[in-house]
Amino acid sequence: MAAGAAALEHILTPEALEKLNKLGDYLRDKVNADCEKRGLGVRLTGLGSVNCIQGPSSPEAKRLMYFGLIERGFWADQRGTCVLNLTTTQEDVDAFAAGVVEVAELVQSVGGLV
Amino acid sequence: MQTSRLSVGGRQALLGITPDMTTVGKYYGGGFAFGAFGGKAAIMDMYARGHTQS
Repeated sequence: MAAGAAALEHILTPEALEKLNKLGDYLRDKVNADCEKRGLGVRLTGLGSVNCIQGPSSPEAKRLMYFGLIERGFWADQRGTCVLNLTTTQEDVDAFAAGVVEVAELVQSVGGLV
Repeated sequence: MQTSRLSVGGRQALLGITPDMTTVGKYYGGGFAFGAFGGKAAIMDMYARGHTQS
């Protein structure tokens, strides 16, 4: 409890929190624009730093998406939830966005998108 | 629970909503299992009669 209180006071400042949520908005907009441009049926939905990958059409396709991202060093969950944290950088987000697009191409190529 | 992280006052602050009750948890506990709820005195009195503080 003391650790949480200290973190709220010194680490989770209003500026840090706003920056984190703006990063999430940027990620969502970037993935959605890139996927739309490439005709990929994958989108992120969410608010701020909390987002979810939408598009894989079956549990198997979701797993393919999940493992494709793991293979590239990104750990979303099998449902597609991808949440940023205070250590997430701009570089992380750009790399993750590229990874999502890359894996979306893969999943699409095997007919796994809605 | 999830929307408390969207601003200092949560999603409700961004939308200009003052709720009757609100819940927080997760990261508030610094990694430990944690949850908290609160609300207007009239409601909280029903749950914790005599324990509300202003």
